[in-house]
Amino acid sequence: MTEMDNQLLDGWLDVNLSDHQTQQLAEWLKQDPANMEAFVEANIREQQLKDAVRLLSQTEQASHRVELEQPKRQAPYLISGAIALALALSVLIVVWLAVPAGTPGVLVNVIAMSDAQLTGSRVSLSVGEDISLDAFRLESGSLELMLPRSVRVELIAPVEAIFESETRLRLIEGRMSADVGSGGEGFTVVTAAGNVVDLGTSFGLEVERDGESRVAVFSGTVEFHPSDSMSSQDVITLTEGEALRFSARAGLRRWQQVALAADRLGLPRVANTGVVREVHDNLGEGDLRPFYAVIREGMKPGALAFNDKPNPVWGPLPGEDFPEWLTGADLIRTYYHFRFIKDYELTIDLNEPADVYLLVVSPGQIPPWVTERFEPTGQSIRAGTWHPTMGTHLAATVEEDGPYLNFEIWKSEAKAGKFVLGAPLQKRVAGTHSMMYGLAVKAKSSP
Amino acid sequence: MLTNEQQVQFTRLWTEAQPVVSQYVESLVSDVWAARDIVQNTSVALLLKFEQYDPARPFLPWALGIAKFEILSSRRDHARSRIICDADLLDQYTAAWVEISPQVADEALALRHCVGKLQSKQKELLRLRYVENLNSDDIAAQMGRTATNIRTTLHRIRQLLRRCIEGQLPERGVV
Repeated sequence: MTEMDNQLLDGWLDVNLSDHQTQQLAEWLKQDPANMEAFVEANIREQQLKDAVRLLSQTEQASHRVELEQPKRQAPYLISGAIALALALSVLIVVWLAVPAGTPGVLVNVIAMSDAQLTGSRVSLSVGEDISLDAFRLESGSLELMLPRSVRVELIAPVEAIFESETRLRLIEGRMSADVGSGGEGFTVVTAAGNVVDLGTSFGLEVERDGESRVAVFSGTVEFHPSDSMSSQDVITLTEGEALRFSARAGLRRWQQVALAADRLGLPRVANTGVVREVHDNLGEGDLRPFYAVIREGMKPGALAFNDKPNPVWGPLPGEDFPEWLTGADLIRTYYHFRFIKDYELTIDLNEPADVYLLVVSPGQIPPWVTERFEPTGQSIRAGTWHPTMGTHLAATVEEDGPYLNFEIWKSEAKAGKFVLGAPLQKRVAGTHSMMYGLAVKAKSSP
Repeated sequence: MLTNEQQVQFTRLWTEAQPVVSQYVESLVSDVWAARDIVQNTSVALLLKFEQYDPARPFLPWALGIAKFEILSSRRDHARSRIICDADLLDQYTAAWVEISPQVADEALALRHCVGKLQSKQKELLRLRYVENLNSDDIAAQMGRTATNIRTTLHRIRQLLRRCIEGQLPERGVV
């Protein structure tokens, strides 16, 4: 590009072209299709930069806000007053939960339940039934509800919550996840630390009584609106794969791992002591970071393969069974988009000795760290469907519903403690499409 | 009326396409709020027309095509007129976006790391440009510099970030 072309392009990006310059730019774009390609590429990069700067700015503002919210020394009479007020409020809440509210509540449909016991609401639970809920406490089990406007909510006991309206749930304590379909945008979960506003997506939320909230976005976008007690009211936008831990005391922290309910995959709930204690990567600390979904006993046909891809699911090769020894392993969903990060490291902290299964696209380049520490099992599964452009991949089989990619299963016997994995590829190889690996872990002690 | 299955399918497709559609709209409509309205109208239009969508074809070109019409039907003074008003140019622009966008999508994460590594002054300049939405003239007035100087600095930062991204990503082959 000439100096003049560069000036026009910079002027366009700066939204600062005169009419004459805009006309010059239009003429330049018409001269050669390559000019249009360069122009569009510059615009895409400009938008990416805009998004990156906005996200960084939001993160810095959030960190700054939290620093400002350090606990202050309170005068003794203020502390006594606060305790008295807290006690009074507790009594009020207990009375409120024990006595049925006068409001009619929100009509919800019970989709699924597992050992669910509800108190604070005089309704009996039955799958498929419509019930009216306002203030309630889920003492045990899990409960999946369909709310008006295509909002699906899963609650995992213990949960204390109040339906304030069809689109507003106050979560006092507990864990929940929400899938918000079209029409449900704006669904809000109110917590002590702030409000989580869904913009048409799915997310998980955990609230503790001390006011700390943790929110993780599985797909799409949510907004976190800090509560009135915070010094700044700036909204934090979280996008797919990001998680936020927010409280005045603990600060803004990365939430590294979200244990998803196995019920969603039709599996029985397991005890809260899995083989995988923690999963994290080396992509930095201290700001908004991706989390890794660990689905206990979640490896089975139909399990979603990657955190950031809505479609591909694991399944057997055509005409074969899904390997029995792999079924029921803890599934760790990795990030497809991390396949190009050169120095990427993923660390799994194991509670006990385990078999670590690595799913590597095949045929494809095998990184040295895989051949050094893993053994091929000789078996493969596949993930699909992918975008049609993936049909040209060497590992692809194109079927009526789209391309599927073949993955070889490699195995390593790991001791308890930290187990570090490397980057999926050292280099992009001509003729192949770089691909993130999949991951599953099975305790040696499991049957 | 969409079936439950179609609603799930739409949510999945739109969730994946929405960031790209938003970027496309914002590249052509400089008013941030107008751009958001257009994206919202696009999602509604897509939902209403989803029964006509052919699942055998990729979703993104269809979504960008609808977004293009939403831009055209929005208030023209929000848009950058000469590009928008030339139907051929806008078609070429949209087609190129469909083709190039997936090729550079992988760079977004590397870009975030690179922006994080910039000096404070450089970050502040980017903040004024992209968070405060000021152009070079406004930034120059605020920082006591010339607009040309600001444009040159922004150009250099973009080049610096390009080099940083290339350093972060492994060697490119055919992807």
